[in-house]
Amino acid sequence: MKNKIISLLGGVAVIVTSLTALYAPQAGAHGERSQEPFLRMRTVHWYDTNFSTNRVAVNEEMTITGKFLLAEAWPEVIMKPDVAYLHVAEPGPAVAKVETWLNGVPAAKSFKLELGKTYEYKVIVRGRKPGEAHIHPMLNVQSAGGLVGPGQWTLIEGVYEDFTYPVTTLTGEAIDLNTYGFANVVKWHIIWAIPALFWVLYWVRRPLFIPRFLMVQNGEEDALITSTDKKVGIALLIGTIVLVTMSSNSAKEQYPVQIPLQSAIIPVEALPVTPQNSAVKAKILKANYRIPGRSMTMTLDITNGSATPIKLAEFNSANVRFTNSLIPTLAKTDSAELWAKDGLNVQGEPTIYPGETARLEIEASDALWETERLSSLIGDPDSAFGGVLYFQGADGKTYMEEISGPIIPTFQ
Amino acid sequence: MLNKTIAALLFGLFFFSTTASAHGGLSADKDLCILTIGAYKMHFTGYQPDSSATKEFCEDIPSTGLTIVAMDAMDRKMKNFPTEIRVIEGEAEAEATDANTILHMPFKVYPTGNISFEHRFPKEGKFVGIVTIKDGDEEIVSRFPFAVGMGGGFPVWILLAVAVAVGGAITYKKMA
Ligand SMILES: [Cu+2]
Repeated sequence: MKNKIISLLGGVAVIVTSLTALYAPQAGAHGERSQEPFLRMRTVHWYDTNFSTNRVAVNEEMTITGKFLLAEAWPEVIMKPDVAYLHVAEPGPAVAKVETWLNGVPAAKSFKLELGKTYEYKVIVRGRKPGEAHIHPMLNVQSAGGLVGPGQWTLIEGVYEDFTYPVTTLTGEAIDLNTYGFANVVKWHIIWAIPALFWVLYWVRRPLFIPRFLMVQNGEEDALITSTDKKVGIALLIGTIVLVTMSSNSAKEQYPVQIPLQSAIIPVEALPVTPQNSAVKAKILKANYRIPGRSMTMTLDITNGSATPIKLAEFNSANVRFTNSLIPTLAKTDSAELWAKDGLNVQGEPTIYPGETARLEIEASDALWETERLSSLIGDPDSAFGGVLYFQGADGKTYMEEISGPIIPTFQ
Repeated sequence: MLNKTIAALLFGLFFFSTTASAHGGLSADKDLCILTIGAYKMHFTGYQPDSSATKEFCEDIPSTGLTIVAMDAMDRKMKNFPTEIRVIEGEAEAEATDANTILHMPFKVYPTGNISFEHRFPKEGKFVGIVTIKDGDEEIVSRFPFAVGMGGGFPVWILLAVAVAVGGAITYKKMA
């Protein structure tokens, strides 16, 4: 009876699994929209993003530079950037990464970053696979995943066969990293696949899963393993040990100079605090998201601690820009497609004088809330938003302040 | 053999529930609800705040009463296109007349790319949404028939429950 129930449950599990597999919805594009809004709105605030070009030939280099501010409102549920890594997000290796720099430090390894601080990066990539690719800077954070910056459509021209990645090793050998060691990788995969395949086929001919389970239950397990099986098993074990020893020796012979895999974490100092990123303070009194109209309204108190009159010019959240067309445009980013040019509306007197605290009612509206799937934050367990306010100073400088807080959806 | 037949039937039934209904220009593509207007696409969302708060609908509207529809341009170019919205009562092929029009929003440009409207459906029935955009001199029309309060499609969870029961019974019988 117990057997029957167990196999019944097994059958049910198989059917349910195969049905749900059919239903799995696919993620769109190359995934930048599929991340939860809190991962995009309250982690890395990218700004001053600049791509040196939007078309590169195969083997030609493109430089991505910019800055990012790590949110103080970093969500509790995701890991802090104690182990982070700078990279590019792209659909397959359309470009190959050549160099990365963080605040002037070569950042080929992982590094530890601090929340609330600003960092400046530079990533140099090399055209690899011809075609049009959407390329973004990306910060990989251990256990949190890739946090993606503004993207650019980049045309990569030429022929893939021409691609090379020349590198000189520490021992002075010139190699092409694109093909280096490839034959060796294929060779060893085949060598190991042979015993693995043999082992699988050897056992697959025998009673499997439920019949096997029933035999064990009925005390017939001795019939499952014969003395030939034991001999084959011992032969395979010895063979494996011999193969491992041999391959290790042959590797040492071929590559006498070896270093272990590098896993150190580089300390990187944040950019210094300046009036531009510390003088203005914002306090959110109320924030609502109006579902029809795709409009976010906020009431906030802005204190201008700088020495110059300022005007709110931009609200930026998850790389979506809401700007006020009455005020000159700020930091250049390429993401024209994520730019709501007239999306920011400020009620009342727009200028905040030095030392003054002003109450602003602002409205950020655009279909991008929905098409970039940010509005799904109303379904998050902590319906909170985050972003950065950019102020234009009369001194020509840009002042910024991170904001975050709870948000309530409305239909009115 | 019987097992395989039943399994095939179940799989067929499952596919039927998700793909078999026809909704003109409106379709649930992957996990997005998309309204296709010629070469352009809009993201389509329906809400019934009184009965289901922020739950989103695509295609059929589950019950009568206040319904809010939000359509969001997926192509930035569409922000400059004058757009007209019309909802008529009737079958999929019905022609729009003054008599059967229950909602009409004349041509207008929506600079934020979002078009939202609300309507209170007093009774169940069949309707057709008609969206017309002006791309230069060209007028592009998209029609999507939908039903209000007809219970919608066959709920997926019932299919799953049936599949579990049948699958379990077969396995049980086989082991007996
Ligand atoms: Cu992208």
